[in-house]
Amino acid sequence: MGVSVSRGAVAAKAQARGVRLSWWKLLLLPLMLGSIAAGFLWAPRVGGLGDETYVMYFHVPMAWVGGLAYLVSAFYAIKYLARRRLADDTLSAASAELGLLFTFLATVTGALWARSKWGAYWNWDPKQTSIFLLMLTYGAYFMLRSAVPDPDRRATLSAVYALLAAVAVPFLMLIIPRFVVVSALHPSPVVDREVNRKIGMVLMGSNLAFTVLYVWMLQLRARLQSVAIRKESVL
Amino acid sequence: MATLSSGWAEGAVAVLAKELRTELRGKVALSSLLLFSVTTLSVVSFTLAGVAPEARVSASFLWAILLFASLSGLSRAFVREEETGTALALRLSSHPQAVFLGKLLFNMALLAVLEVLVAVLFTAMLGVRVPHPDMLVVLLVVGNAAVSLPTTLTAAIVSRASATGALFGVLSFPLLLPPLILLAKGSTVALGALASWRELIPVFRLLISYTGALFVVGLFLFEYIWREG
Repeated sequence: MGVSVSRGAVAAKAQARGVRLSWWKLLLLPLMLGSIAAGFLWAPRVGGLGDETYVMYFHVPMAWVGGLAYLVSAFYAIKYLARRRLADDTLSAASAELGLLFTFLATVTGALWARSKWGAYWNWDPKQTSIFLLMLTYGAYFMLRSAVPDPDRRATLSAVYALLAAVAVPFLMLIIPRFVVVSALHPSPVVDREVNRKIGMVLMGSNLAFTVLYVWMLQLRARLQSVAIRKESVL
Repeated sequence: MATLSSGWAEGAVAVLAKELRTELRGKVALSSLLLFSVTTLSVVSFTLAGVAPEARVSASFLWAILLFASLSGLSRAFVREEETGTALALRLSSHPQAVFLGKLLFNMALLAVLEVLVAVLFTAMLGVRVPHPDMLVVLLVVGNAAVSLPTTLTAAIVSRASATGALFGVLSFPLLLPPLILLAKGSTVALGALASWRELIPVFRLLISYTGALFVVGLFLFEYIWREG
């Protein structure tokens, strides 16, 4: 009896928390709408590059979030190893999941752009190669997680692996541009100051919007995971 | 009995000696490494039919053969402990760092034997001319550490998981890619006729810094893998 009452109270509390929206979540609506509108309507086309430029305002933030998610995942991996709380592992894994999703989206949008500008979906450009490797690392991480049934062991091993890979990824970003590719195709910032300022503003807003989206998704994913764990322990 | 802290180096040597003794008894890792590389080399040799490939192609063959041979044999050091149920005894009797260093040295020794064999057969069977043997030897020595280190770490992780065979390759690849790119580029230089040490300096700098960074992080993190469960 006592158990069912306290469970009901927990559910009610969770529901109340789910309904309440934090201010930063409300901010996401104008931010995302603004980024989309500004990206398509207000931002200038970059000289020489045609209508395909518009993809940049979504491709760049996706790549940024893909990298950020890795850093967050590594941060929670360290935290897990230090404190041994499964909640940290849940966050680490959730961030890695989102990282994989966003790197995948960045790769697809980049490849579409590359097809129309460079003539092929895939060119082994340094940035393409780096992101490809980041995806492989994420893939290996999830394969490791699925191969370890015990939650504590899974958390430890995947945290260690995430941190080992955190050594490899920056080295690759250093090595690939110098030794692998003959010439980098990926566009660098435009020189024209007036054009640059507008592009910078839209990109900044879009980066912010995607970052807020990422934080929100991370929170949802972690909460879902903890509910699943609680359900398992009740059953 | 020596205290644990004084025993790091001694412990590592003891683990290495144990590994070598066990390996010489069964020769599982050594034979799988050697057979794999000889098979691959002969396939390449048949296909090329006496025509020596250019430097870039031979460099990538060399490291592809060494990579796949390593992936076929270097996980034995840890997987064997779990299979035979001796991991617990080792965990109780040795310091984690001593285990890590001992196993790393053992894998380096295995890879060294493999490298000597592959390098000799490579020049003999494929007819590859090596204009600068000194450069290739230094690359193989540095490459030995750069390949053994990530594979030893992933072997330790994999031995605590299920489905070890496929997992070992998948986990090792992202960690092996930076050194392998550098080693293949360096070997292309070393196998070319107009090689100079100056061209190899950036390759060595990155190789040594990567291996050093991974060694420090690995030495620190190994305890977590080893003590878990």
